[in-house]
Amino acid sequence: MNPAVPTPKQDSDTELVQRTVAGDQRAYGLLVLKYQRRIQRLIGRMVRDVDLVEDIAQETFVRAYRALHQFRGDAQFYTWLYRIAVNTAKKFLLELKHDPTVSENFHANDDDDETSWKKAEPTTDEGPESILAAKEIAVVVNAAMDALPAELRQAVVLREIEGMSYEEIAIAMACPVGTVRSRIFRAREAISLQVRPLLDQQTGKRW
Amino acid sequence: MDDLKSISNEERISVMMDGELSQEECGRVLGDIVADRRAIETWHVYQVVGDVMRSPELAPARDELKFLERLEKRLAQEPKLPQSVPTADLNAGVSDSAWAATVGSAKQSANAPVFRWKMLVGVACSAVVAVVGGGLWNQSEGARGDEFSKTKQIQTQAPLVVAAETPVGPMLRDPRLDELMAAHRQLGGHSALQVPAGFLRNATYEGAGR
Amino acid sequence: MRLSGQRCLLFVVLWLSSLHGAVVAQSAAVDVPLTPWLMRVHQASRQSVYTGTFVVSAGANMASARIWHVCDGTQQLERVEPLSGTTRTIFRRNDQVITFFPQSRVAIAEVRESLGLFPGLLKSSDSAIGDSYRLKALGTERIVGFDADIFQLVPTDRMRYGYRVWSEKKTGLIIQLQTLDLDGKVLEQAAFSELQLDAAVNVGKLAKTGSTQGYRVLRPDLQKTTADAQGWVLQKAVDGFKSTACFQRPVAPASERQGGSGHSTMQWVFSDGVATVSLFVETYDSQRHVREGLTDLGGATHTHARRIQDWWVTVVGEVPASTLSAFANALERKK
Repeated sequence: MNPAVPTPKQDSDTELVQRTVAGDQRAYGLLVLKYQRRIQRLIGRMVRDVDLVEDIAQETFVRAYRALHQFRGDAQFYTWLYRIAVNTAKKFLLELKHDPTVSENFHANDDDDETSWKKAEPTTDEGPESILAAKEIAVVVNAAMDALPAELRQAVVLREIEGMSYEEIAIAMACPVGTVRSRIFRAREAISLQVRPLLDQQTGKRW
Repeated sequence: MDDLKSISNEERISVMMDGELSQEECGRVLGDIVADRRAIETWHVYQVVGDVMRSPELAPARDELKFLERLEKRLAQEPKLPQSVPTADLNAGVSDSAWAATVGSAKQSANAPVFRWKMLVGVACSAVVAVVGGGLWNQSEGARGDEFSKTKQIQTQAPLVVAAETPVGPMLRDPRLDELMAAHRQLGGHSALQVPAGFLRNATYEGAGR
Repeated sequence: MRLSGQRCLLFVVLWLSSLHGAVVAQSAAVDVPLTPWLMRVHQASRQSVYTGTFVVSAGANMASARIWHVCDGTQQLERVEPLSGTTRTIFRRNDQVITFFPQSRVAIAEVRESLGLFPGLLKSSDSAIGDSYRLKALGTERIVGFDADIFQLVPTDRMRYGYRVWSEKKTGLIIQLQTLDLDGKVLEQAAFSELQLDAAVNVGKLAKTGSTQGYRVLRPDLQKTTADAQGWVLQKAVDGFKSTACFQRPVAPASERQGGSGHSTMQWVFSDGVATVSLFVETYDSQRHVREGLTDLGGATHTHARRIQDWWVTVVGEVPASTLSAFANALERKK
């Protein structure tokens, strides 16, 4: 069953980039679905207005798409994407530098406000429904993890948190690789069962 | 993998995203996913679950498929991509200061729900534990296609708390070393280069363990 | 005669490089007196007004922060907003530093002695710096929109790292700093990725962000002491490094400190004028203290842990691992 020479494993990011460059834009969509949360969190630290955060995130992914053929597999894709996000946000911020409504602005030309400057500038916050929706997802994931049988939980934690490979987890849990694969999958499915309806709700709300 | 055909679509997605398939198999599975709305949604929910496990902050507040739709409309107007061209390493350059990688932290604020199950790892797993120092960085071995890099020490260890998230993957952290690092940066700044570079460097690092 | 010939060469080379923006080759590097250079670089950071984004990186990893820095008459005000890690803001007024954690509404107020030490530090240990490093001028380069002079701090032995410094031409402000390992490879880089010098900053507003209203303020319980008083001695000095401070303190996560809780630890600080090393000594605890030896924390930082009788020693510093080991092995209980 074991091949004489083990087949090298492929990282999904690398494969997705290659597919996109080869002409399949849908492959890029999978990368977006994977990284948009982290990118938006990063941008959200530089910019408070949530609509603006989304605009900058959109722009980031467009720029990354355009430069994709330059991406060398040597560096991690997310490292490369992060850089583009920071640069894109910077450009937006520089353009907004003279806009007194942006909160990260200590520009001397602002009207002096005797009260706390933090309250002065209007920004767009995430509505209470959205915040609640996000919290619900987090709570549901936590609860689902707690409810998992111990061996499923351990397998998925070693994978998602510790970043161990199936082989390493197999050694750690003293079971075959096939069992590791199955446990991780069953853990994911059990948690996803609770999360899917919440994601569907978010889509439903649009209509 | 021998029995790729005998497992469900969902399980194939699960194995593939963990980087456990050969290039050929990975390509095939991805080809199946992009053509199937349900499979895309599975990929999406699995990614969300992984992110939220690492950091509840990452739970989506808005419709992410809508975000993608909006993006796809724009991309449809883009010219076809040129094929990959080897260029100078984008990250090289003595004076290229506009680098980017993130060192995020999954550590909870005092008011967030406690993710107790994250602590089970150190206790339950004594045989092989991936340890990456105790500090801010992930030790990158630079292996191509290796999504998570680490140095390994086989040892018994006191429970290691909450991982930090780095672009190359999560890592364990020794909170005690973090405290010492913070103390060193706070008081150990008797350096001619302290201001501004030293102080700013330390301020930028600091608090990652707090 | 030879000296003026070298000077001529440097001028020609600098002129050429300012035309082409190239970095001058090492062979044309010229020795520069260290002390006046340090004074200038330090003055620049105190007197300049600037804002920007600061990025610290090692290999493929990095952290970044937004910076505002002003001089308000006699005092310096600085605000640092890191873009990664726990959400927090650092506010500095001269040597007083407050770190705000908005999520937990906790603020840690500290006095960072080292920030107030210049130029006194320089006077007391400048001979140490001169023994441990040579300063060389490498040329000019344009970075982040500014013309900068490039200098290299070359260590005189293998006990410490080297540094390359980009200093803004007009003011001397350090725009970029690289830490180089013993082979000259870049271990770490700390630099502005964008910088506005003499930016128009509303000082009043900036000062207000240092207000602790609405926050629970914690002050770390620091006691100055001496290693000798604590019963410790370094039986063999480590070349170039002088003891600069010693404290008895609790070392615990800041957000969890409640007055004096946390393990009481001795922190003994050494410096060679540029690099610093801290020796932490605490009571040995077999549950927590399991791994002796070296740990690479990434970038320029290493630690070395060692058990000495009933104590556990951790040495931390931005120096080669062998230097940390020298400290760890030289530490002894007084007889």
